[in-house]
Amino acid sequence: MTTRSLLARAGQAVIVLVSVAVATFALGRILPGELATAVLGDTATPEQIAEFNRKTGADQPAVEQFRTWFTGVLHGDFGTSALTGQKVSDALADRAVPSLLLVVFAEVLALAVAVPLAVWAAYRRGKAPDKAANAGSFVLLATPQFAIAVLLIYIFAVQLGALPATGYTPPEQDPAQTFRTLLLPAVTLALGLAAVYYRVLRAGVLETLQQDYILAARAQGLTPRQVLFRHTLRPSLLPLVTLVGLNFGFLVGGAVIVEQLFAIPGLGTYALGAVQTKDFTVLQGTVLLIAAVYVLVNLAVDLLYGVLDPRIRHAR
Amino acid sequence: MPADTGLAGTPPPDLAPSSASASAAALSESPRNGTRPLPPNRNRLGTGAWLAVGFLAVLCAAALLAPVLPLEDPTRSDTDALAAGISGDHWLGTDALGRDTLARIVHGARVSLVVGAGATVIGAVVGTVLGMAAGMGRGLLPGVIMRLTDVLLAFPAMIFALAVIGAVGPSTTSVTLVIGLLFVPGFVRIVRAPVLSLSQREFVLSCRAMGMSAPRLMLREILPNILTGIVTYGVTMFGVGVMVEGGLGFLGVSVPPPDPTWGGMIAEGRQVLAEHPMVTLTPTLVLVLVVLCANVVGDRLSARLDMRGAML
Repeated sequence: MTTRSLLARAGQAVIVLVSVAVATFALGRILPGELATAVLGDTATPEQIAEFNRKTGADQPAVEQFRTWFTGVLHGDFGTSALTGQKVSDALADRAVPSLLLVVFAEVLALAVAVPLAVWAAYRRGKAPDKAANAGSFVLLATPQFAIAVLLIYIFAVQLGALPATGYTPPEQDPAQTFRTLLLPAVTLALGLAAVYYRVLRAGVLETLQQDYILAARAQGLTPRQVLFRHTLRPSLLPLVTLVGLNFGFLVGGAVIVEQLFAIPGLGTYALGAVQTKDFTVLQGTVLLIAAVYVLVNLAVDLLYGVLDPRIRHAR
Repeated sequence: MPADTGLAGTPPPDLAPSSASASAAALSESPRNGTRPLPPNRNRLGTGAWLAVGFLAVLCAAALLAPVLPLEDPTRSDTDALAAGISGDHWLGTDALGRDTLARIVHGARVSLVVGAGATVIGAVVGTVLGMAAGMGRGLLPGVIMRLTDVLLAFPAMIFALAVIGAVGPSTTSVTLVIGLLFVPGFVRIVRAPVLSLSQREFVLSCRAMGMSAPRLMLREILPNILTGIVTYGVTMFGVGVMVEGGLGFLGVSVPPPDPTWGGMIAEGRQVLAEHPMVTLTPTLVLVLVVLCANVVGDRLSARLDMRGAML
């Protein structure tokens, strides 16, 4: 990637993030009900509400409010939750940990299952295990996350009693318990991811296996293992890298249903709570952070693509 | 990739007998003289896909005819049969409040299918118009359209849906509109790529040179060439729409109770999951089957039409 196209991509990322900030701000304003009554209760007098609005800046015009908030964000100050009095940047730092752990855990599980299975299935194309894996991935693709979650809770928490159904333990308290509490939600996400990764990688490996250099490698007398994992896997991984990155960016804070179902105090549940309580400052900050992660991961994937495939780096 | 390579009957390149597949066969256990026979019925949808179409058709018909079918009232509680199993009175049992599961599934289908189809149509129409404009437009327009889709993609989808539906109130219309809006970027991308390459083709250039207006050119020359791709992608997105509506219903922000939605039924059943798993499992199974059927049809269509990369 040339410096110029890199700068152009970075510029686009900035434009997108500023637009997201404006859109979130507007979205916060169209939510029904007033923050003042949510905080002070229905019995608040008009004077109390006016005083509250003056203190939080809610009596200012919208453009002025946005300017104040966005200037703060650029200085690393995401404001203060009017509901809890907690600084939003502190809360985001706390909330980001479980979300990141969950998504990394899920991605690792998904890749650990999907990569060997896809290579094996492509190598044994048309055989019974290939057909079984294809059918399995197809059913998984059609199963919504919350259905997978409910089934897993039913089997492992209700029937077997092996794992906790909900809750989260921070790693600084008890890492083993963190692992146990994150296992079911991570498997929920991983099953859906693994199905997609399996299908994409299997198709990629099938295509690579038809290349002449694979024939040459075989003719040199390399074992199937060497051919598959050294010569076939690497060129087939490119589309997968994009997908892993996209899903990572999408799921950090985007796995709202899974976080909510398993009661994980992550970014998704934080934003969901902010929607329900009309806590604008929290909603704006969380959405902006989630969007920033998504945009930056996308940018990183583009760069990584050039590193992995020299043909792209030297094109143009 | 030009969209018109998939003429029915032309085998896709990766299945055609060629020297390339000989090298693949060299790796496999039993090389069949270096070529792989073409699978039969390349031009047909196949039995599985027809079964899927049949299931969806029956469900659509049931949903349409729900008011005149001899079904129980989906909101009426049968206090003699709480969370009952399959019986002559209740073909698919009842839920924890004694409401007939079959009736609730059929009435829930009215919401799920309308939202899935409606959202797909909205996404397809808006996405196609914007995608063609982004592929053929000049000046600032393509950049603006692509940045707008980037913003929509970067915005956490579920939070967006929850906030907008929270603002305008949950109803079939609002749920459909929000999911449809979320579908637009996907369609823009699936349309823009082939339009970019098509707009450089001779037949388009000659139409331009003869002075054909841009809207007419798009409608008469470009659209027919990309329609198969849009339809194939749309069939899959219909399934996604049904899934997203299920998710919103599960969180309690789809059509409000007591009207049944599949997601709502699954969420309500969780309270009695340990004692009566069927209350949850039956609507889950129906939901999965519907999405599965849509995926089977979409997959067969795309294999038949050789629409590769029909993915976000």
